[in-house]
Amino acid sequence: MACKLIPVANTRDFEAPAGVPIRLVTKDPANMLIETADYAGQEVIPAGHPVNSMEFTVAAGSNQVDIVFVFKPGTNAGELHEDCGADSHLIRRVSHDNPFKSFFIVGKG
Amino acid sequence: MRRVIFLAAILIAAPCYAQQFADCPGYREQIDRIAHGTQADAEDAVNELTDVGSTTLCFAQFVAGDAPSMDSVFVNFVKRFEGSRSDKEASAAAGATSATSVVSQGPAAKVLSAAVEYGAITRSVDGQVITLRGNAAGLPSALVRKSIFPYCAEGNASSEFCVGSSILSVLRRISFSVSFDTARGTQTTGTPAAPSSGTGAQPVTFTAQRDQISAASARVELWNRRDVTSKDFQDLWVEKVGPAMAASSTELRQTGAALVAAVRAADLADTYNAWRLKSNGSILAARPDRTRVVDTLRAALEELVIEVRAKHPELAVRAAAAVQSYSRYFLAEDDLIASLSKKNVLALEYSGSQPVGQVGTSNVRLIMDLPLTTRTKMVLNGAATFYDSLPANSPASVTHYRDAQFGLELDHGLGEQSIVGPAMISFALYYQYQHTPPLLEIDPLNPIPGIEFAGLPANARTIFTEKGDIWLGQAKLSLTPPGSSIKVPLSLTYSNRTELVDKPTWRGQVGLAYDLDSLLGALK
Repeated sequence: MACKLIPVANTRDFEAPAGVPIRLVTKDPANMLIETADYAGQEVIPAGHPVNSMEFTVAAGSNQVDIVFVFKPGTNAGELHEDCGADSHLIRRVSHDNPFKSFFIVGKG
Repeated sequence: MRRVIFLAAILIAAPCYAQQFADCPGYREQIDRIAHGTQADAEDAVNELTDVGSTTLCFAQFVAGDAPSMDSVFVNFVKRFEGSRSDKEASAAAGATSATSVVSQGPAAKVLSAAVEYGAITRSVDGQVITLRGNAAGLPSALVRKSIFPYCAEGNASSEFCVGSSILSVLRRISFSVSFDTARGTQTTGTPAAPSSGTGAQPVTFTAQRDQISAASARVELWNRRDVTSKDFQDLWVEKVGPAMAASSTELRQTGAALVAAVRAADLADTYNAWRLKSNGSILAARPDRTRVVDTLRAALEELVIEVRAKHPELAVRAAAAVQSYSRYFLAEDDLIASLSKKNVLALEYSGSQPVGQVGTSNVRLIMDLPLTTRTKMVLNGAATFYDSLPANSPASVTHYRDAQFGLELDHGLGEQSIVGPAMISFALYYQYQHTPPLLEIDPLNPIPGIEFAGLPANARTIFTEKGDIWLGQAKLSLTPPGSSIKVPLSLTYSNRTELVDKPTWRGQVGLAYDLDSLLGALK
């Protein structure tokens, strides 16, 4: 599966064709989970049932992704990747000190 | 009382350390990489440093920390304190041992709970007892949840005055209780175990006191082994973390998103991107001098805040809301870990009681909680009771040392086997060695109809009941209706005798306990 998210130059945001599905995963799912997340103002992962991945379809325009993670005791950091097989790449490093991450995805086309 | 609570809160929320925005872990780590790392490291670090979506907590603290001086923190606190009237909950949080429990549990009460129980197992006394239990961490935790004080997670002080995680972990080990005997003011009955010689039956009433506080206790957990690495703990964490963190995580997501959205609004997109490019260059140029890096970052952040405030004057409000959300998130996380990791608890409890018609006593109890499996645990108690005072005419055989007690209880959570929601079944054995006869204080001039002490002299003021070993067995089922904060214990108890009656006794009891955390949460 080819990666869809491409870093936008001089920013920490990403762009992708509008309408394509994106799957984000935590790299160490036993120790860091997504507790809740939203994209483009819509709740993607409702709180209460933490998961190790989230999927959504890229909307047109610049839209915000907001994620809150939970960490197993003793875990101080983790990573969020785009799940695209061998080419999976880092989206964000996440630290227990700041369990909230927010970035933008620009939907093209 | 309000003044005492106010002062206690101030002490608990003592300054962690002076606020330094560069000490925020998210900033500190990147600043260190910029100052001391390779060029590639520094470039990576500065990219993250100036990304408000990645360092949201630090940025929120920087914006929110712009304003409040120490004075305004206190003014704000007083306003919120008066408005919330949280002292009402806190004053009720002092607590006592239950009159009907055979064996005391090790872990301290979570925040505040109330229990209504009827009767006292080792005494032939009827009466309704209401027990309020509180945890010393309850008040500061409530202050954090109500955003009166921020929470300092370990290594992350968000304010000069914040409730520290280390002090909360100590306070969680301390609990109190107060028992109110609602039957006082009415009459309570008893019968001497060994009537003296004589034929006349004389009505007797125990002295009823207006003050309804029948007992008070304080408990400290001496040892609470935290075992966060065991498989049991990890499995339990996976099971509980979702619901436990749901509310605080949702709030954090919303407030964090709102803050980032203000900075990255469409009308600021060019400004923000230009600011990042310029600031990244300036910060990199300041390396490897860490002080210069910090100064440059501060100047850059101040510039950004001015730009954003011009378009979004409510920026500080959004930042403050985010900081409060982080506080509640970290507090919920620590509360969850504390609630899951209580194993092998060793606690020491002191309780003073003033049963109706009996001499006041002090009890010292050692409590050991030993989890056997995830659902089953064993609780051991050893205690000694002492009379606070002895009647002037006491015989030499009557000493302050009243009795010794030993208790053993097995608790088993029924889990899915229960068809009525969460339930626990318990079996307990209790032994009481009566060193000195129980003393009853009587008032013959104020008799209760229907109570008779055979052969009691007319001038008797004190009755020495019979010594003897007390054995007791109890089976108890504690029901918790799904989704409620209520617990209903149902118990059946057999004893070979009681302190006052030298005959075998069966007792059935129903109690009601209410977890007041939900009420405190509703005040948020």
